[in-house]
Amino acid sequence: MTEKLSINSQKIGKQLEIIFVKGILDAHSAPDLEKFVAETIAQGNIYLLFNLKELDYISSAGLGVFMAFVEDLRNRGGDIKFAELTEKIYSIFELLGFHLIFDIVPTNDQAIELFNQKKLRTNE
Amino acid sequence: MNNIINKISDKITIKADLTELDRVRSFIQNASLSLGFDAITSNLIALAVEEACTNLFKHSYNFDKSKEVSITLSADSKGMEILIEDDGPSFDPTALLPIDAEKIHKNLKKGGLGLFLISKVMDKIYYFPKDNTNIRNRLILFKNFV
Repeated sequence: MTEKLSINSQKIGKQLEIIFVKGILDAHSAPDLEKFVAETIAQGNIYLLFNLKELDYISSAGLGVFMAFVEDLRNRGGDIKFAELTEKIYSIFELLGFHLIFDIVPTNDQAIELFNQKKLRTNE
Repeated sequence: MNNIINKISDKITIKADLTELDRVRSFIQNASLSLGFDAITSNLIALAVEEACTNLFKHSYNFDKSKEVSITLSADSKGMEILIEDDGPSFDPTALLPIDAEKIHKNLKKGGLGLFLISKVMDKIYYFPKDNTNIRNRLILFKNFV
């Protein structure tokens, strides 16, 4: 893994993982995140919450990682959500219209609540 | 303002190597901030230039690290100009503009996100393929001060 990117995760119940992405996510480091996400999904997680509180920079290569996985996750009843974006990172999401296709919320708890609501709907 | 512009006029040459992106970002961000762009806008301009470089590394140079890209900054009373020069096969990215946001959102696994970002951040984009007069392709990105 490149030194400029750090990824940690925390399992929250069945199939839900919070992934903390810190540092610089560009074309150089994006493959590290892609590998991490692929492994997380391979472990059976379909609800992924990305906490971007300590993400300093993101380019299209980083955003492409989320785009690469979201369709498959949604087809399987899962989803990707985002929490704690800084103003700098949110400005890029907003510019690309990502706020229209992804849930972006202030806190992990709010994202988890949205996942739980989705799970309830799916199980009805 | 003119004194600042004279100081800002600057150039870097980088290898077609993804490890060079850090240097590109610092170069553009520092210059943008010096010219009075706010932190958010400076970050977006750096992002646009990085995307242009990444596209060249990938599509024009096929990640051949012996190849080079030059980035030259200048400014006038209206805004900042970033000239990006390469020696690869000519390819006019402006021919793909405008990019429809809805298509980007629907074709989630397809490319084009980098160019879409550049087009959203910058106010003007020009491309001049290499010819008998100019031995390098030139992509010019312009950002207005207001």
